[in-house]
Amino acid sequence: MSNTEMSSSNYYTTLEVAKILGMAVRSVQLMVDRGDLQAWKTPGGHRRITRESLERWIQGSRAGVTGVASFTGHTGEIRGPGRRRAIVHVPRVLLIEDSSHFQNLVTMLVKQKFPAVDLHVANDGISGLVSFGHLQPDLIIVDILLPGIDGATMITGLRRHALFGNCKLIVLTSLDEDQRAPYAFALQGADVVHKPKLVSELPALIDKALGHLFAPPVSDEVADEALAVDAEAAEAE
Amino acid sequence: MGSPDQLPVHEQEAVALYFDGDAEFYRIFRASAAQQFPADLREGDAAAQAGDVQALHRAAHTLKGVLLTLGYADLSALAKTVEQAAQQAPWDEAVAGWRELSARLIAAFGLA
Repeated sequence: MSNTEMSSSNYYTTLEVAKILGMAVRSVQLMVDRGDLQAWKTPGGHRRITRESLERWIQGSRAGVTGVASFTGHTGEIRGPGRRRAIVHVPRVLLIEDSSHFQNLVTMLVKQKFPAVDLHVANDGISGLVSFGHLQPDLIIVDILLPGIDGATMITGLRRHALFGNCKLIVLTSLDEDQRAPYAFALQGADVVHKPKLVSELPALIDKALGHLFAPPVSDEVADEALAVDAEAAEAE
Repeated sequence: MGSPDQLPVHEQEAVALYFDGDAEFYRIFRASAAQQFPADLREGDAAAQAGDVQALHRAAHTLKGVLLTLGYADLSALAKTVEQAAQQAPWDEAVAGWRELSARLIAAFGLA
């Protein structure tokens, strides 16, 4: 390896990549082992991950995450003359699900029942972890069985994640009750939806998780008043 | 909310049981599923041919959930058998199960 390639600006430590992606160090190690990231090892056995492979991964990850912008029917903004003022937080939901069928079903359901929600979809556990770091969603809906890092392992990791904080969690599964025992550690305390009952059960759980973020409709008078107060505050500055 | 009257009985039951009686929503989802099934079958066929246990398990698992949701409990049960056979039974048995599931899915949804 040449000196140029060895330059510290061209590579990162595992810990640095973990911080950049908002993931656990172990997850990054797994990505290296899977060949998702290119790395070499120091004489002491420490991984050094190439900047190029990290950038390629982030680009690929972003491409694999579907921002369903058209579902954000409500912008959460009041338009005033020459300025905009955000008044409510647009609830952001991340669905981590590998089945196209259930991606479609959840998307249809969210579009119909929660048009104000900003829904994003990740196809596997690794993309889901990366997206979680980028998006910092209010709610994640996770399939328990995923390719790569399975949903149960991912949930356990996310619960230790500093960003998990106030994020709510709903778990989806096609597993029957008799098949769930190996994943009990991840399901504990989480709302679990058996996929066939998704249409009848998921909306109430989304409402429970995000209800506090759905602002009541704002009348024109209230909006005008808010803008007037805002304008006065701006003049006083 | 669409009328479920023109659907086969097992689909009407799914509308009542899993779709809160919304037949139109069911029809839209069924149409999207029918579009996706050929890709699912290609994935399962490739897994069977390559001897890829995890991929066959995943293909069967995916079908198990969506078929039950659509009211095809018998096909869902067959998919569950394939899902389990992929990891526990002799490989030939899992592949034979997949072939049967594939043929019955094609017939049920007119995928020819």
